[in-house]
Amino acid sequence: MDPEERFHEIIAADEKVEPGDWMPEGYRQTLIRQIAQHAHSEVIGMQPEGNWITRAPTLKRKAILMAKVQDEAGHGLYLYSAAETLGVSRDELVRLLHEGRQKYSSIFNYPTLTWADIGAIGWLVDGAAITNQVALTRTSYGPYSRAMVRICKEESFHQRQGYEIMMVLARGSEEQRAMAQDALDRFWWPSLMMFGPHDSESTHSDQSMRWKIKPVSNDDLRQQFVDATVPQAEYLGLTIPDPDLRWNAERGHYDFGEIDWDEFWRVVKGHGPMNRERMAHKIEAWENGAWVREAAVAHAVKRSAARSA
Amino acid sequence: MSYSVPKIAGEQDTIVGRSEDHLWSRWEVFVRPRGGVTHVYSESVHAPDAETALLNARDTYLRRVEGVSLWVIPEGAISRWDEHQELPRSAAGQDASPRPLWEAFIRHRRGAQFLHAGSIVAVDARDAIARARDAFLTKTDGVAIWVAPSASIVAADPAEAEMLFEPFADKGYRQATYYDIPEEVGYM
Repeated sequence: MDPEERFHEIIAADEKVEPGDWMPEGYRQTLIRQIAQHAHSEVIGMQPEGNWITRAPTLKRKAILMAKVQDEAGHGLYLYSAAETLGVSRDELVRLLHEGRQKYSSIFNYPTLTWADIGAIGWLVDGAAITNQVALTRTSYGPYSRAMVRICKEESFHQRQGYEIMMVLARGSEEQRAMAQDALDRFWWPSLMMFGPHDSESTHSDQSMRWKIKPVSNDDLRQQFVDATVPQAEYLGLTIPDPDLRWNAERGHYDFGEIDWDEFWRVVKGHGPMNRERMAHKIEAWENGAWVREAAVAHAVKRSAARSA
Repeated sequence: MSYSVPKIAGEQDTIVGRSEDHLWSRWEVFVRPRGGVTHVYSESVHAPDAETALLNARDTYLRRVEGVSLWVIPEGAISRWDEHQELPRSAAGQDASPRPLWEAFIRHRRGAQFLHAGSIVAVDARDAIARARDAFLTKTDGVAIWVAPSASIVAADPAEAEMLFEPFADKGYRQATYYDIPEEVGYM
C-alpha cells in the first residue's frame, strides 16, 4: 500500500502512528512543536516550585516538593525522548529553546510569591495540565500518547499534594486563609489561559484535530477544568475571582467570565512578570553544567581506552 | 504540564530539520516491572557510558517502586524492522559461521510498547529478525521487531538491585494515595 494512504488509514481507524511510519511533514512539524513546547514547559516549570524548596514549611513538605520537582524533570525527559523519535535531537531542541525559537507555557512566567502558591500550582496548574494531558493520551502519535499515559499516572500525586496544601491553609489561621485566597486570586486566570486562545482564534487547532494530534478543543478542555474546579474551591471556602461565574442549569456547565486576552498575549510575547528571569536562569544553568557534561564524556572515553589497552 | 503556546500574529513557525548531534549518546531502556514476566521498552536516555545510562534510566523511568530489572542498549546496537520493509530471509543452513546470541523485542500492535520476546541464535541482524519472526510471531500479529546482540545489553547488576530500586519503597509521599482528599471534591 502507498505509505501516504496507509497513514490516512491509520488516522481514520484511530490507530497509533509509530516512528517508522511515513507521515506528512506538517504532521511531523506540528508534533515536534507541540512535544518540544511540552518538554520545555516541564523543565522551566521546575523553577517556580524550586524557588520554595529551601523555604518549605516542614521537612515533609520539602521532601514532597523535591519529589515533585524531580518528576517535572523526568516528564521533560520522557517528552524529549518522544520528540527524538521524530528525528530531532534533544540537544537541538534545547538549543531552539535557548535561542527563543521554541516556547514554553506562559504559566511559568508568573512568580511564586508565597508558600500558598505551591498549593495553587499543584491544584490549579497541574489540574489544568491533567485535563489537557488526559485528553492527549488519545493523541494519534504512539510515543507521545505513551509519554502522556506515563505522565498522567504521576500527575495525580502532584494535584493532590497541592490541594492538600490548600486544605491545610484554608482550615488554618486568618492569615493562612488570606494567603490561600491570594494565591487563588493570582493563579486562577493564568490557569484558564493555559488552554490557549478560543477555538475560533486558534490557528493550529483545525489541522491538529484532523490529524487527531489534539483530540479535544481548547474551549472544551477549559470548560471541563472549570466544571471540575469550582466545587473544589467551594469545599475550601475560597472564592474564585470571577463575578460572572455561575452554574448554568440549561447547559449543565458553569458559565464564566472572559479572559483578559491582552494580558494573555503580553505574556506570550515575552512581557510577563518572569519571562526574562526564567530564560536567563535556564541558560545559565545549562552553561554552568557544560563542564560536567564534557568531563563525563572525557571520563568515559578514557576508561574505555584503558579497558581496550 | 502541557498546552500549546499560540503563535503571535505574523509569527513564522520554526521549521525543525533532522538532527542527530548528541554530546551524550542515546541508550534504549527496558524495564521489567514488579510482577512482570518480561522486559518492557521504556523509551530512551542519554548518557556518556553504560554505567551512567543505568543510573539515568533509574532516575527517569523508575522514580516509583515499579521495576525489578533494568537493561540499557546503545541505540546503534539495535536493528529495526517494521511492516513497511520486506521481511529478511533467514540465513538458515547457509554456512557454518559462528552464531551469536540475539535478543528480540516485538511490538505486537500499534500503540503498544516493545516487549522482550526471547533470545535466538543467528548469523547477523537480518537473520535474527527473520528468525524472531518465525519464533515469536503468528502470521497476523506483530507490527515491528527489534533485535540486538545479547552482548550489547547492559543489565543492572542484581547485587545492586536493592541500591537501585529500593530507595523509593519508603517514599510513600510520591504516591497519589498518600494524600487524603475528600470524595466530595471529585476525582483528582
